[in-house]
Amino acid sequence: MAKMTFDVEYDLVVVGGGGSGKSAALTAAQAGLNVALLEKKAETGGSSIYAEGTCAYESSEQKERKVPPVTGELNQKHYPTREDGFRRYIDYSHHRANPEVVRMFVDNSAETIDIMKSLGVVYTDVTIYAYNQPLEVNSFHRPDGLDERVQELLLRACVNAGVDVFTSTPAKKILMSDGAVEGVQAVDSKGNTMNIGAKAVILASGGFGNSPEMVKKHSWQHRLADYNYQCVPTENTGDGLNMALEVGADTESLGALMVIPCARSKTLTAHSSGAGSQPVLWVNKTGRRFASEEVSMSFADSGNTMAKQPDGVVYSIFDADTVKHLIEEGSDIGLGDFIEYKQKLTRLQAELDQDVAEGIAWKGDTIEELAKNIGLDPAVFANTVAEYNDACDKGHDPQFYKSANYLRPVRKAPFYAVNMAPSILVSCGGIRVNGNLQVTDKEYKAIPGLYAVGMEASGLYGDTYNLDCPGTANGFAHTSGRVAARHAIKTIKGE
Amino acid sequence: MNMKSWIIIIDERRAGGMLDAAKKLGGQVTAAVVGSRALADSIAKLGFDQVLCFETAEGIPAEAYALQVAEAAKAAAPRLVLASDSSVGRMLLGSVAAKLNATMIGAVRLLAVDGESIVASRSTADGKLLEDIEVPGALAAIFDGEDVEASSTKPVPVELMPVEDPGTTMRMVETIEAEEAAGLLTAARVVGVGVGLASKDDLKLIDDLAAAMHAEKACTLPVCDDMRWFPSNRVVGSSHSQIAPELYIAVGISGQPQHMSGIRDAKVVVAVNNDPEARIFKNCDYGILGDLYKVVPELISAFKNNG
Amino acid sequence: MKIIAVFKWSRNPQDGRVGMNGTLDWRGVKMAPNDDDPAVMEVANAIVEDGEIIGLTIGDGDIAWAAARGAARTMVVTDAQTETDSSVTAAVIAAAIKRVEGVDAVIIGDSVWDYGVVSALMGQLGWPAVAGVVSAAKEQGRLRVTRKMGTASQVLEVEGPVVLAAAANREEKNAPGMKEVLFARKKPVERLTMADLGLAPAGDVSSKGTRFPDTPPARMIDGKDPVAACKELMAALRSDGVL
Repeated sequence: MAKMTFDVEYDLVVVGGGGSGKSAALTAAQAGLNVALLEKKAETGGSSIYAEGTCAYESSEQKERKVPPVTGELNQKHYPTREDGFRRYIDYSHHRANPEVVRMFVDNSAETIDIMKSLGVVYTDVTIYAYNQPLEVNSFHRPDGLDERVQELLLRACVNAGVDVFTSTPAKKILMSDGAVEGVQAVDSKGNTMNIGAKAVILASGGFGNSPEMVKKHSWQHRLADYNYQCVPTENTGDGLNMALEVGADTESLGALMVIPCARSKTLTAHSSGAGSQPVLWVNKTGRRFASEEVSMSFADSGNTMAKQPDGVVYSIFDADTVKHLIEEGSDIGLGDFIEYKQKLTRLQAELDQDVAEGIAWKGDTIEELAKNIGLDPAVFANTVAEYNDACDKGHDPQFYKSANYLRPVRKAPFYAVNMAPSILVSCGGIRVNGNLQVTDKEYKAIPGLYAVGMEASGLYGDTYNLDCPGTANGFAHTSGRVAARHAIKTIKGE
Repeated sequence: MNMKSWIIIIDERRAGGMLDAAKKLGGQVTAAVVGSRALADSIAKLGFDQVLCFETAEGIPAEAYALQVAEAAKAAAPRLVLASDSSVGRMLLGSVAAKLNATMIGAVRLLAVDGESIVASRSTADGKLLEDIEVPGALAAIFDGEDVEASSTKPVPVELMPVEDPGTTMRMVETIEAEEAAGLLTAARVVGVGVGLASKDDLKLIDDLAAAMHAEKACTLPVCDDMRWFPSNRVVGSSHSQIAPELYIAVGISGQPQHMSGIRDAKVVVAVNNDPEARIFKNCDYGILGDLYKVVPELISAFKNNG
Repeated sequence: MKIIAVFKWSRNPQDGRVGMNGTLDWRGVKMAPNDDDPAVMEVANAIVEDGEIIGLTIGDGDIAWAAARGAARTMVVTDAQTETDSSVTAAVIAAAIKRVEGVDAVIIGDSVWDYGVVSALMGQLGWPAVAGVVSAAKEQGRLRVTRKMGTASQVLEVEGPVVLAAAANREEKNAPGMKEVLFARKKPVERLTMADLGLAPAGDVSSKGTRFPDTPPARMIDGKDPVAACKELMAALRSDGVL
């Protein structure tokens, strides 16, 4: 077969301009490689611009700081070590994590923090995500300006390092020759098909969380495809996974999703959504409770819990006293920077009034009226509320053992219901890689020149995103991108 | 030592500030007014040592007199020449600088004398830092320092400079007032509203402010998605519109990174907020710390009266 | 018309890394097109007719940027950089411009990144010059430019050769695609050095370093007395020329 003629040739082509892709591109360009970064959206940033903090172990920031006061059951006398992190990922995933990949991450995460600092990132805190969450470790490096700012700085660093950044330029196909990568086919912003030669290709397209078809096909939470509510405008449609499968890649632990609860048709910073995410009374379409609402301590676990309910529909129920409590005293649990711990939900009443008028939340002067307005069986719902109020009075939840401090009765009219929905933020892995982030085939052999990084790559997760090590998705994105690029550099330079 | 200064004046902007900065260097300060006689007369009341007037003809832009002003400056040989950052002033300053073979520095906030040199401190790193620059010779500077109110009890006589007809190389055709409906993306002025506003009814305040300012309205993402007070084409921020108005007034906006990335290129950002810790106060030019319900009505009348 | 489009003549001030002690670190930062450079190309393309646009840049960074947006060829002064003294930077640009015969217009971005360079270049060329230009058109052989004057705009007729400083009033529309960018890299480039222009890298102006300003970048106004606060604000806005 005649050798393909390319429109242009690079050493490395990176597919996707989020945190993992930019970290890969920057590393390679700084090492002197000729690098193109292809981003299908008009702006780079991917899911990373919605990320808040970055997970790392034994970082310079952790070494400089005093361990925050103990907040949960875990008596954290020190910041998490690499070993702590390693054990966490392996245990949390029930050994479905790939130890090689976990090792790569915990060993290299601290350097990520130093590199970000050298780009001008300032870390304001190293903490946990949901204050008072007993299981979390203090791995969450919180940058000033959140990850949106980090992504801005990273993009400028890429441009200054000489990376050719092409936006509105989706990659369509990996080009192969004799079982090795020889390039990528893409379509540029004006619709021209471009054949781009490359000695290595790093897939960093962010997974398939925004493709209902792929969620249906690949995830154990396949029903989400029918009722997922997309709360951030990402376009992660599994481009990398599909392209990799076409050239013989294999999958591993495919189908984990990072799911967060969000009030349907609102944003994560909405105060109605924040109220609905609190451990108040939750019922599903049957009008009954279904879990200890305390699961809201971990958004990933509560996302999964909501995703399991019929049609993914959950009604968060609270009364006028709880509205007052949330407005005046603040939230009982935090959701990172979206809804901070003890944040006063000052807009709650205005939002509820607005949402009720629009028909996306409901109000009733009696429990029965609320049930009718929502469309629940009034008798069943009234019974649920009565049982719940009884548990609140006794300070004991015999049904689901929710802690007494979250037992707030539903007694004072008016009563409200917020429509909570499961929202896929991103899928967690799919393409099997080795510790160098090389994509492996059915024989577990690396496909020469092909890498997968960030949420594209499997290795850290079992069936669920691990929020006990907060910032993992973002930390892994940056770290895996860099480590993949280092391997590509070595290979290309023949070192 | 010659510390004679020339201030090029095409309008009253920063005239007091430039006078003040130049005076501190110790030499004689001359105002070189390029414009109307009336402007020169009002400048003469500010306390300059000398006021020269290059009277411009109707329909001829001030830039057309650049070479004549530069020749006069060369004859006077000032050590320092200042102009404001108006587009006309900067162009005249460039002409004078070329004729004097002077150093040119933009965005100068402060001036001082150090021995035989002038030290100009200019704003750099996107306003985060000052750079001190030692200039041994003649300096032309675009002045961006604080304005100061100036007045003098003894106005100086205006000296009319002989001006030749600059010919027809440059002439004004027309002046077009800004269209009200320029659209958010190209608007010169924008009022942005955040969730600091308590209720939808209060948007009337924002409407009135926008009308008084002849501004477009914009909002943060929560105002659209969570409060539903505006459609999404009014949202400014990442994944939404990026705007670059001359003036952006942020009312009740805390300054989340998502929003701030959309106004990065605005020239002047004003924030009105009652939270001293609000992030936007780190990213604005002027911050009014106060209750928006008290401040905005005053802003409306201020803009109605002289905006 | 024969037009020289001056682009990418400075570093992006947002790229400088500010140290804890007020130092400024430019390591690894290349020259970058400024926010007004797309407007330069827009104005150039609007008036070029059947003439030619020549890109002119200095230093490192993406040389083909203007070529991807309509420049037929590009000149680059490879060993020049943005100097502390904007007159020196402008002299380099002016010297390169003077090598080209029969230039009708020079267009440069009216960039707040460094107004000094724009002013100095206008002065050194000594041609009719207009800053703050948002659009231009040829009408019956005459050049009409529209410039911003606060919220109003002013239309001027200018006889050439002219210098225009173009100001963007929106994000770049219709940025070139990958194919156009790659094609632009094959267009002719004339590489010049300061020596070719008969210039010595110089200047007796020296930077004494950077520091944090004594006052915070944002001027805080106490809103307790709203009337006084608004008065103070309006005075400041007037000084800034935005009223």
